Amino acid sequence: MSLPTNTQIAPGRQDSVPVVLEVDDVVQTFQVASSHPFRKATVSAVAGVSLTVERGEIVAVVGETGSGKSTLARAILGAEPAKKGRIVLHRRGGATKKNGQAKEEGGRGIQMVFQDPYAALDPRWSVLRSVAEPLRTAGMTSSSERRRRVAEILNLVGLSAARFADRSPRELSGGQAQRVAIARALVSNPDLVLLDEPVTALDVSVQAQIITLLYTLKGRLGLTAILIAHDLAVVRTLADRTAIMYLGRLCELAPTDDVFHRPLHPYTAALLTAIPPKIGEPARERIHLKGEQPSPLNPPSGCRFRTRCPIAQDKCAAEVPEWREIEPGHHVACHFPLVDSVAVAVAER
Amino acid sequence: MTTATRPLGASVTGLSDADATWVSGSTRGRMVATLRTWRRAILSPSVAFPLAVFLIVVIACFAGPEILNLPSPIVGNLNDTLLPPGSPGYPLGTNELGNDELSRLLWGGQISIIVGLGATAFGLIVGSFLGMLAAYSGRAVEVVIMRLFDALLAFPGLILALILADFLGPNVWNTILAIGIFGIARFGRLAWAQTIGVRHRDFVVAARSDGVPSGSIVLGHMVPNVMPTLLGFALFTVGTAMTIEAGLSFLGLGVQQPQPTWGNMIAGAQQYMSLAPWLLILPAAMLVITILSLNLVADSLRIRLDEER
Repeated sequence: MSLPTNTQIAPGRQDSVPVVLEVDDVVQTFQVASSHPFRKATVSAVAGVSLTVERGEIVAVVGETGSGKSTLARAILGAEPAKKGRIVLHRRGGATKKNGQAKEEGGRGIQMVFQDPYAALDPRWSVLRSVAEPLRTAGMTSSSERRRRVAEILNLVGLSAARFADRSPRELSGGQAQRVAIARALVSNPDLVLLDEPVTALDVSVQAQIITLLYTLKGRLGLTAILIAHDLAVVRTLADRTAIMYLGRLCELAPTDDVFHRPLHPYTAALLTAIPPKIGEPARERIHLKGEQPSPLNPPSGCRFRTRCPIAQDKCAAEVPEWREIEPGHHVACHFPLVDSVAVAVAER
Repeated sequence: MTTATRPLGASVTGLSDADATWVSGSTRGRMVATLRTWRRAILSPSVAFPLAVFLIVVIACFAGPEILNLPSPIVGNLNDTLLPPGSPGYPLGTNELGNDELSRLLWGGQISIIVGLGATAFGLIVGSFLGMLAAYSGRAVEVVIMRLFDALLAFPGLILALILADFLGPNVWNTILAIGIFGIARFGRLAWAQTIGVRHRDFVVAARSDGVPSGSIVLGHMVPNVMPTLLGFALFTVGTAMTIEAGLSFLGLGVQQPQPTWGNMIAGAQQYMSLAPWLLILPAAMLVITILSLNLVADSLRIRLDEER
């Protein structure tokens, strides 16, 4: 079956060109049943998101439940193609297939690590078979070659092939299963890995192990990834750049340190004050947001954050804030970005 | 940045001895483990006992007449009608036409078992194919197939089989067809629901978005995950099919006399109920034993295999 996708596969550029993924003004909407008997309601899940990912970089997308971050990931993966916008993957090597074509040689170059590792592995398949699946798709026909590669990749994620490769998923702990899922995502050497809340479903102690593993892999393989998360601590450890998403739009995108130390968007600032202080640290002053995230069925006009923003003005309701690069590499969508003094005050640590 | 572009294999150092041994091995160990799981489940008493009963019935019906050198079930001796069980030469007596009851019971069992298994297999194969097709193809195909199932389910099972059997004419193969068609909708809806459940699981999403061909996804992921449920349901359905066969034969629309089946034996026996109650009790008991043992096998096997997981 030709999977509908608008992920274009660009002609293989030289590796010196660092951009792996270009996401340009992507819009995703869904039709759902509404209270009106003959009319469908439109959920505006992603409303114009643009970002790029460079080779060897991890970009985090942070947002609360319903902010559209997983929808964005699924659009990039091609599982649910975006309604509008452009998603271009610049692949290593020479694949020059464009959207709509039935099959790309050697898989599609994007792999995903899902939140629930047990759902990501076929319960009836052995670890070997699951991990080797992308290799088959990529055209590795020799089963002994596949066994060797699977053993290598399992070693890389810290599992012994001799002990684990012939097990079924139910014979694995949550952490082991997530390691296997990561191995599966990496085995075919994809151009981009989507990490969709890779530790959320795990025990806290296991979370630390998986984060450490991802950190190690980043160093060893130069992992290129988009990390979907809502845990800011995870983001801080792993991500080179961080995007903050609210109700289908990006609020802010900057190098991770800048996001944490000099947030320019009021929503980012409010999120940061929600991180509990470390032991011994004085409690920060919380910025409490009013109410709840509005429904994506009927998003607010202008800036989508305005209904809860402590500094909202009339202009915020009238105009959609432009996506501006205020400082080099620091993008923000806000009519009244927090100037230095205010930013320091709210992000006071 | 150079590590980023290096093929993965190059960044990995050597494997441990145990892993190197594993690499040069084969997948046989895994198959052995699966077989061992099944053997343990089948050999557990709650499965083994009803299974043995069912197998004894099957073997008796198919090999019994040959081994015991029984007389033909349809050539009777009119001097020996309605003899009670234990009569010389007729261990289970005779019917109103002087046919040997034991012979009729075993020959009749063959038909009942063939119809039960055949109708189930027919419903299972056609139903699961249509159900999975409905779940995996577009909306239009799905709507057509599912409404077809609804239409089939709207008839009570026996009535539908009655109409079909009447339409097709009474013989073994038409009986299998009539009962099998009744099963299609049940198997189909189950296969549809199971497939819908599997197709949105993350491992299928991952395979599809990576470009794994549909055929491989259906055969590799869908069928193995859907089939256990369907097979479990099929074991129960064998009993239902045998009951419907009995009902059809009882009403004279299934397999016709003098060819015996448990169903038409019960039907024929009712006139002689007070004179020769064994003619009614024996085939009814065989029917109950067979259906009960199969249902117990299905039930216990499911429980044992669930425990193993």
